[in-house]
Amino acid sequence: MTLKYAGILTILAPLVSGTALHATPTIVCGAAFGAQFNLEPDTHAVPQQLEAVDFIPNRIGPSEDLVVGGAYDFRGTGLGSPAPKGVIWDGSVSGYYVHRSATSDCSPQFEGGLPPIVSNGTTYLGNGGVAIAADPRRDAFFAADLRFGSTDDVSAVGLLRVSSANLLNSTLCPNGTHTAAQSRSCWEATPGVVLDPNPPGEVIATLDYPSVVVDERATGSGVGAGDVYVAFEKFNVTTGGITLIACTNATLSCSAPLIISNTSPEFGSLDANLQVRPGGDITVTYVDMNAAPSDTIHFVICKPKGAPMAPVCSAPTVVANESQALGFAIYDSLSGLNMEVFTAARHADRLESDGKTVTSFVVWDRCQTEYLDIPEDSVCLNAQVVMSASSDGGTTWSAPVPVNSDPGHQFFPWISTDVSTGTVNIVYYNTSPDVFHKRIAVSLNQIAAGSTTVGAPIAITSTPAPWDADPTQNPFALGFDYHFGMKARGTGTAGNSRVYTSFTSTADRRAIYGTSQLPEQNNNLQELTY
Amino acid sequence: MNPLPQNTESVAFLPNRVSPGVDLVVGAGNDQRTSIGGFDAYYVHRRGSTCGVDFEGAVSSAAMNPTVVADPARDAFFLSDIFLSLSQIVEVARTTSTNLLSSTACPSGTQLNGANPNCWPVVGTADFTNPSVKQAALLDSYIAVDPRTSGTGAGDVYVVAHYENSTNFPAVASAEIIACTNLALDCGSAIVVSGADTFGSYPYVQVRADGLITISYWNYTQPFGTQPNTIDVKFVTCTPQGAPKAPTCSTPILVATSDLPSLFAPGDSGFRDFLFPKHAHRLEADGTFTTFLVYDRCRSIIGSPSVAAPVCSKIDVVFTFSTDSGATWSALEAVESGAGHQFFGTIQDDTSTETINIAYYSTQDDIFLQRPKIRLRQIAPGSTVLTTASILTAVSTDPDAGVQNLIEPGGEGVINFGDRIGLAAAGTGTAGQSEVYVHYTWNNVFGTFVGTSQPDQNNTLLSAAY
Repeated sequence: MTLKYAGILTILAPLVSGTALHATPTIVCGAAFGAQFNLEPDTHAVPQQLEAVDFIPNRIGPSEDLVVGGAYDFRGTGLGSPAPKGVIWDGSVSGYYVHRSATSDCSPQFEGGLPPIVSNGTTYLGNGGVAIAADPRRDAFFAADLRFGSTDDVSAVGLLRVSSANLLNSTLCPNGTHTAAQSRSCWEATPGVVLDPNPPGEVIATLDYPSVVVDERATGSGVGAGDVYVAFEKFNVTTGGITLIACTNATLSCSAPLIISNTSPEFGSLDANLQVRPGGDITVTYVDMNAAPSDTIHFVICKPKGAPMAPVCSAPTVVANESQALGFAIYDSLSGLNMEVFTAARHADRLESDGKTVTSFVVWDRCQTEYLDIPEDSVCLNAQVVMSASSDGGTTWSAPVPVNSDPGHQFFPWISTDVSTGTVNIVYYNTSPDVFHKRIAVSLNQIAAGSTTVGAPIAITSTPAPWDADPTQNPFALGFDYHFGMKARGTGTAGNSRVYTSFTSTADRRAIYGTSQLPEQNNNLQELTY
Repeated sequence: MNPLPQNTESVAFLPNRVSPGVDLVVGAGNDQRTSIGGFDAYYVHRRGSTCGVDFEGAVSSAAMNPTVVADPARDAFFLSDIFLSLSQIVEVARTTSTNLLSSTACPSGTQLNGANPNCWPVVGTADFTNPSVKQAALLDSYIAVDPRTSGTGAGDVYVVAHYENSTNFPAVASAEIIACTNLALDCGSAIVVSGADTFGSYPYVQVRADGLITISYWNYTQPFGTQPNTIDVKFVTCTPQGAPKAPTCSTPILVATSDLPSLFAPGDSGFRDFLFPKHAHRLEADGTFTTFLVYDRCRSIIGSPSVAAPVCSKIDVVFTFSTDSGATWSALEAVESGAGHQFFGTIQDDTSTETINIAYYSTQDDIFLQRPKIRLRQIAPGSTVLTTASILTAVSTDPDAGVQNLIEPGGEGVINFGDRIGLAAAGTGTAGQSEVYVHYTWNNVFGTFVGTSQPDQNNTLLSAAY
């Protein structure tokens, strides 16, 4: 057989890599796609999405970190599992995954669903939206997630605390996939709390997108040191908004909810993102959805008062009025991806070398080019991540600049300052490396200490993977996956900084569906050192 | 600039008709460009040694799912398509190679509908209308030509279609046939070929070298809408009576049974595949015929089979053969044993060498089992065993990526990748002088949409010699 003619064109889009920052970045956990960060067997496999991650450097040993991930895990309810269903957890889709091995890899040693929290006689089950924050100073981790009542239609945000000692204790937290009892023994040394519960009988507000952060200063070093802050979106036509709660570190004694957004946009205030500055000020970014397709990116600074007292917050300032936001139209998706994406803002604060100035960096995703075949069913042809910075406490912001100007889509940004070096890390999904601009790689750009210029992209994963290859996501290929997670920390010594990124991938293995093996969606983990 | 999708292809050719080594190739496919005036179009290659298109156009406005066939004995081509109206009419057009090679009758470039009627000068209609039925639809037409030059029915053109009577629930359907004369396209009345079957669907027609008309189709064994609903793949032979007289047909014979739905989505992709049996005949050295039949088969459904497009864990192209005019059939055999999905299987006999060609998409070379290449397997003369597969495309395509996704409502995950590809095989009888053409859907050429570069779904042609 001699092939004579074929009209085929290929377009190759190489991912630029390499940077000249603190130290040469090195990928640790498999350059292609990181490593599967769960223990799910390949039978009855279901998706994991909406990842979060944090870690304590060198907690296991030199260069061996204690890593805690979170994800929405369909195993919680067996949702999406073809019959016969596999393991169904205790009703919790708030998955946790822990790496505590001395082996330098990204493997999880145990996992499970965050345990139920009982409050005022009501049992609240984990409902996803897991956010993770490490507290190296007090050697602990915090997990915030969405909660719903097991018997009533109540909803809330849950907050749990676990010490590193417990996570390293193979009796309290044995290896493997935790049963409900093992999940409780692992996480309930400090009783979990529910925040801002809605009363039963009527759903009066929708809570979503919890964000958790710890004031990592030494206990007693200042007002609020060690306090834990949780922010979330509370959609309510009358009294909703971005809600902030302060809790004590050891006992999770929490303040009353404080609404920090001050407008009532048509479609609500969305997706709070929390940080604590080195001096203890709390910073929040969130998005107001206005008339389509316009969003306003807001920034708020709050002064700590010492939990359980609520902080005192400034009026929100405007980072940017985004006129080409994502996520307004029904079925608003990215071309080729069939994934509904909403503009979301994340930020990071960096203390400058003068010891006083703090620069805040905000990143968000937007639609650079919209395809308006049917206005209410718009498709974005080219999503991009942009960045804006402020060095005056959020009063003024620089003009947004693209983090990556390559073709294809860049979306789901996350940003984290490596306090040890002052390096700001930005990650995002990037379809540019794929010939069809459909499959997703994870890319990272760094901003060097003292600079506000975004560096060249670095490949966190080099093999673009299709988000929608998991058959449990079809034929409903319009997916819902709103973010992934990343955290950067280090010791301040070149080569000893780490960036852990936890993201959705179908690349690492195939699972068994029916009589065949097909790609399966997992929360993966990648480590980058620099 | 702002290109639109093409898919659902067909292809036919006359070897060396342009000049030695240059074939006259006619393709057809659904084409969403409004500039052409219809939903389907033809594409003609008549010069040079590439697969380039020299001119293209539409026979009429508002028709779809075209089929094109060559008639070497009369140096002609036929094209059929279904009107996009509520009528149950298949449009049939005829042209000659002389016309297609004439730059006066068929100027190069894109021909708007009606601007050049000399290119396809004979247009007839195969009218499947049944006045006694209040509400009906015509679907999935196909066309074939009797290749003979003598005998009853020689040169006659046959049109088959799926006639669905939806007056009552559950709807009933039948596979039907109309015979048309070759030169004038004088078409007769429709007759049912699916016997007592209550939902004859996706008919496919061929004519053997001895004039016997053969039709394959499938039928629900339970009333339409029943779940589960076993499907019977069936085969019918018809004797020509001389068009426009309808042929006389045998009772349908069972080829194979499927307990899975007729429509399914590949497990990790957003488009849909259909059970669409197709067959080809090979004349053996002793004058008997072997009939080979292929169709796409879902091995198992993930989740509920009752949803609109159930998810299939593995799609195979399967084939079977019969050496007794369809009375008995061999056990089904998968064309590929590897992983991934094989789909849109199609089959043609190269009568010059009596080589059977089976073309299909296969995702087996993609690590995510989503992106297919075009593969071809052959069955040598006298054999019923598949040869090793040839991979005809160096790279793969992504059915879910591109413009066709954008123009689906909201890009909601239901991708239109068409439901078939075209295949034609012919030669001189000398080894190395046979050609196979595959006309298929491919998204690898990017178009410009609102200033951005996006994969654009195109009908694409390749040829291979053997």
